[in-house]
Amino acid sequence: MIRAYMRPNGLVGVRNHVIVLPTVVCANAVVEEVGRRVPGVQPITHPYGCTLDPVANDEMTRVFAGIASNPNVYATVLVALGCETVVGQQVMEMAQAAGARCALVTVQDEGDTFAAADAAEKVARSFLEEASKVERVDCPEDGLIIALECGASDAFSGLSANPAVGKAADIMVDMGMTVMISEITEYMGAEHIAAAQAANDEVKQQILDVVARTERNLAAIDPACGLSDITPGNIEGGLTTIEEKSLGCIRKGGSRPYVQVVEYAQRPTKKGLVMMDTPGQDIQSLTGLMAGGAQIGIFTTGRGTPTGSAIAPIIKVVSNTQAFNRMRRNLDLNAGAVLDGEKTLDEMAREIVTTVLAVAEGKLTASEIAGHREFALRRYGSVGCIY
Amino acid sequence: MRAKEVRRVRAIQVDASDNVVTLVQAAAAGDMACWDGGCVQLVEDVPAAHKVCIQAIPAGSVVTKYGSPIGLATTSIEPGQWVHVHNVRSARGKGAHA
Repeated sequence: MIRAYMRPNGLVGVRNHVIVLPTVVCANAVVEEVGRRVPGVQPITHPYGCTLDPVANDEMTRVFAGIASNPNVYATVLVALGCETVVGQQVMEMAQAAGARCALVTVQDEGDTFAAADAAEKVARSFLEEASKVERVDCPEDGLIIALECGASDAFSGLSANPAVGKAADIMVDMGMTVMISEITEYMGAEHIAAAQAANDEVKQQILDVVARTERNLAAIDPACGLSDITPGNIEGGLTTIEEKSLGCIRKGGSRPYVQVVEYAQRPTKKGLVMMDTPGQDIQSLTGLMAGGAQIGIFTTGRGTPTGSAIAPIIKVVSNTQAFNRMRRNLDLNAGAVLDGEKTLDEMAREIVTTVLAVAEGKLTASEIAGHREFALRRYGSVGCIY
Repeated sequence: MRAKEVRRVRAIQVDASDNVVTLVQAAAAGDMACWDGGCVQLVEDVPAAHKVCIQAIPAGSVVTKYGSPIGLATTSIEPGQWVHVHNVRSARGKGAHA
């Protein structure tokens, strides 16, 4: 059992946030103003919400509703402009159907951004008062969905941080949790290993299909794009190709069977190791994982990255001691101890699981303390040149 | 006169079939990179976390790490040489269409 927030729909939250989320970029100023007036809320801003692409439109609607219904969120104040293609009312209804508590403030209905900020502030204050009365209670550990992510990787990532997280993933799956791995671009060159780990033929085919679909999208990119397919930092850190990066990345997933492949921002329905179709861009990937219901992220890095999430604690595990010492205040755990011969992978894995449980019960992560609340969406059809 | 002692630097071979090893710390030309299973003398400086060739890799053939292909050699690579973007290309993603 863990001490966490039991939501009315039976989902388990590890945080009790009230978030203020614009459903369109044009409402950002209102959200920022509410954040200034009511410091207890989590204001999220982003450049999305109005698009002529109906596929992207549907996906954004699902993502916003998914974020609002993440069990770490006590309640959400949605702020719309009123004329955009992502319809605020639809986001609210979809979130409410998933059991979320939310309210909608529409700028054009309120009159202007000042009036909208007044209305949103009022709702935000009342949500915060309600949220403050909710207490942590005993909740089953198997209610946790743990998101796996890696970013700013180096060639040590695949030798220390990722295999340590993989062993931790095995422990957590055995405890009944769901572990959700992501970033399909980082399966190119490693899909044969994941496919062999599939629980059945259907999942095996889904794994191969989702990687092939991602690779086709990349092949369609204009060759004039001219960039490398891994980042300059990856290359400086010793990674040579996407295959090498992938083979290191997938070690995060551990050795348990893949039981399900879900779409971007889709909540898994099975417990165990799950794969979500997200892009290699860390923030876009994390947003999809959180919209899919993950309450905690484990994020491995080699070069060191500070990023976090507005709604979920992110536990940073770094691959080498040099980066740990350099970025100490942005990182939580040092798997460089494995390379230094100070800890075994099994010891590191147990430390990761202990940290996950402590964070689930309220321990703050480095990204939370530093106030990192990055938020980005996958743009459907444009995957970019760098995985 | 005694020969200068050769410095040994730890390296990791992930899978016994790999034709490269990963250096745990930076090493210089002349240093020996040693892993569980052997040592190779470096012919050039190689940064930490980067790869060193331990078996001759002919141009166009597969570079193996983690027991799986990580790319194709764009030129022949000899034991002790640094293995990186200057002599390996990806065969996947955009690399497949390069």
